[in-house]
Amino acid sequence: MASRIARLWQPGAPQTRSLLPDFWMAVVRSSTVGRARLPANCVKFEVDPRMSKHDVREYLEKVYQAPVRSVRTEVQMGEILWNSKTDYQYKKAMWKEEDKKYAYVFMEKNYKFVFPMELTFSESEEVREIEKHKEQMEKIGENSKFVNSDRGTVGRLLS
Amino acid sequence: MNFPMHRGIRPAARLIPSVRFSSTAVTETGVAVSVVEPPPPPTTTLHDAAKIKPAFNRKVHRIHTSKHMLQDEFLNAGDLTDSARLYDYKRTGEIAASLTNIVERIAFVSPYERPWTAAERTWRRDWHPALVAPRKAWALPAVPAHFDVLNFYKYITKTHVEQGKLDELYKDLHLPTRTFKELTRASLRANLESTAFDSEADRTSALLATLLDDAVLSLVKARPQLAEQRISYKSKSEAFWVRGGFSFLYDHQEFNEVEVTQKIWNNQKYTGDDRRKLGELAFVHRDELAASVRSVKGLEPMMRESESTDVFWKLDEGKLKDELYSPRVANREMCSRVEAESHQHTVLAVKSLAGLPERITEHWRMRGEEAKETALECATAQAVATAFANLTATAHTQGFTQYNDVDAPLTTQLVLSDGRNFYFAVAQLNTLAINVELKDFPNPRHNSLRIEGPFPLYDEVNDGRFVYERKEFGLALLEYYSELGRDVDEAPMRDASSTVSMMKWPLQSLRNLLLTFPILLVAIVFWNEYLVYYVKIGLTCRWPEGAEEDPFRVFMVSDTHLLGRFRGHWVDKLKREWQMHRSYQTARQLLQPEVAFFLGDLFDEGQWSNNFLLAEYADRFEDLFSCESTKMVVLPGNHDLGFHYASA
Repeated sequence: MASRIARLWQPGAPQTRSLLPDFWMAVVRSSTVGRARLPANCVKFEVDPRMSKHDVREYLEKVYQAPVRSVRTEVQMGEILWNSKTDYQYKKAMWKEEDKKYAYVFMEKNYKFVFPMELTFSESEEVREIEKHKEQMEKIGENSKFVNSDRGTVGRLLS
Repeated sequence: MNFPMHRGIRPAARLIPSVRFSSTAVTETGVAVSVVEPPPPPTTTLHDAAKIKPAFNRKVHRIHTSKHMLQDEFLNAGDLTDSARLYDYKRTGEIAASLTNIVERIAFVSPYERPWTAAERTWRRDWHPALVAPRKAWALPAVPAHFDVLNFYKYITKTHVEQGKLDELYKDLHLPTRTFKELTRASLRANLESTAFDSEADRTSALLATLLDDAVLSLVKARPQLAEQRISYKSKSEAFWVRGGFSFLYDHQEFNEVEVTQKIWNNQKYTGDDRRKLGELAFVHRDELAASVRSVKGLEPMMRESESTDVFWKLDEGKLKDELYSPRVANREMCSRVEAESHQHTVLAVKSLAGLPERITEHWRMRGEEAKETALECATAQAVATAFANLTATAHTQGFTQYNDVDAPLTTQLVLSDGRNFYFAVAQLNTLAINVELKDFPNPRHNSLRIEGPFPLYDEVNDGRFVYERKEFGLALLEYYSELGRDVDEAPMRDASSTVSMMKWPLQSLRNLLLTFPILLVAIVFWNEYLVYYVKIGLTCRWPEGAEEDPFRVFMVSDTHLLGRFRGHWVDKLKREWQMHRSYQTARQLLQPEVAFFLGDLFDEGQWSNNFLLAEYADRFEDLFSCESTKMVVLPGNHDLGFHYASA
């Protein structure tokens, strides 16, 4: 679906036009433990809030030839920022985040989904920052390594 | 406490099968031995550890890792075992066992309703959040709503499933299949050609009920014991159970941490039975069977006892544990209800799978092999759920709860069908204590189910004839129905002629009577809405006599006032238009006029319509009154053109 109108053509301008669709889908990482964990044949997407289950299915089948079997959607309400308790009481919000729509797409049974960024994620900026932080934390505790905690019979209770 | 759902359930006769679980025979090694003896007094299968009353401050979950070495060195005895939970379990079991009234006992373990506690009643004020209603359970739908639920269903009912191998349970059965085949063929044809059903689901249910009737009819001479059993149509049952524990027992992993923990300490507290605290792993299955054969006594157990202990389950468990991702099972209540009646045992359950084929081909868009596999899987899953719900309900109506486990296996047979493909299954409920998972409480038993199928009833319908590829179907179906009588074989044979047997089935004759009713109804409608016009007009209306040769015959019709979209109700419109159409067309056919004049006010709402609507009304008018042999002259009136209010 493309709801945008092409720019009015002016004489001399090129005739090529590209109309991008309004609908978009993005693969979202899901937790690997606990109740948010997904089966191997399920992929979680964040999708355009206007997309229906049918749209999600058609998108994946037509564009990527994915073996979609069923789609479930979830709308997550955006957070509301309140200034004070009174504002909350009278429902006068400062700001509300946009609602988000997620689609849980169940592929055919023996399908195994691997997160596409899994391979490149380890090299990302974020990971490097975390590694650096860990190294620094180890350096802080450096002295405790040289403390002699084995003090023989000193401090042991008589039996 | 008031528990309306259990009203009317009466304590039933205890069942006395030959194989009985002996509670003392269940050892720590998990070997259960079958003992043939009179029923033992109700005992619980509990380890001695449960006899120790734990200290009052022992928690049921280890809430933290040791903070210092002393805690590691001098472990509290109460923390070494699950004794706190086990003690709770045992105490509850004792209380349950002390209640002799079954209704009271089930009400005692029922998690459905709970009166608000004194503190909740006393201290709640209007500005507090409302008291959240007690627990809600996940309902298993009538037919699986997802395509790979089999493992999940197996896990939540602790059932081991095997495909095939059913023939060995039905050896040496010689059945009169010829009558049954003829009856089946006739009722199948009648069912497929009938237009009396509102939906395909109704059609399937009716077909299954009729097939059961046919089987009983063809068997009743050979097995007069059938008369002691009862067919129930559209029987309902409901089972509620909890498999698994609390949401706070789920695994939890902090961002970028390797360690997986549980947030047991400092998690949010909810009061009472708040559904946010517990509920994601509570299940309910409200099952409606197309038909079932019920009996006062249960069936003999069909599967060997070695099959019901954990040899098979251990194999399954690794795979199935993954279905809930982090199942920590806590002991909780189970309860169920069935319609109160004397015939408590479901000997044969016939379940309709209507809607499943559409779901597979249209909703999940599966084709070929995948569709076949999914159909089998979904049928198996449904068999697991139906068997578990029905057997649990039977067990509960006999006073067995998860605190005092069943003392003998309960068995039922199932036939599942979407109207064309049939699946046959035998299920056995070996344990109710499926939701107790404690170190000191070994419960090696699991429930089991064997299923075989699909057997297509016919491959296709060709020129009104059913084309079969497989011959064995009729036999298979009859085997199952014949098995109904097996458990009462020892009872003294009765002198049961077919007339007497038929009298035992008043439902059957009532159904035959009801079948003639639609035909009568159709005849009445046809007379009143069609034929009566010809008779009335033909007898009473004719042209004036004494006219010259070949007169010019004219109809004058006026003010038809065809109802419109805004003021007319569709029923009124249908009735009026049909009457006008029939009377006009009948008169025209009988009296043969050359011209018909329509003198205005054709439509009721012509003055309010735009071009589109007017065209629609005009088409309708044409449909009702036009004919090639009669010329029409149509004049508009004030209702057609809109001078209605101007002239007034």
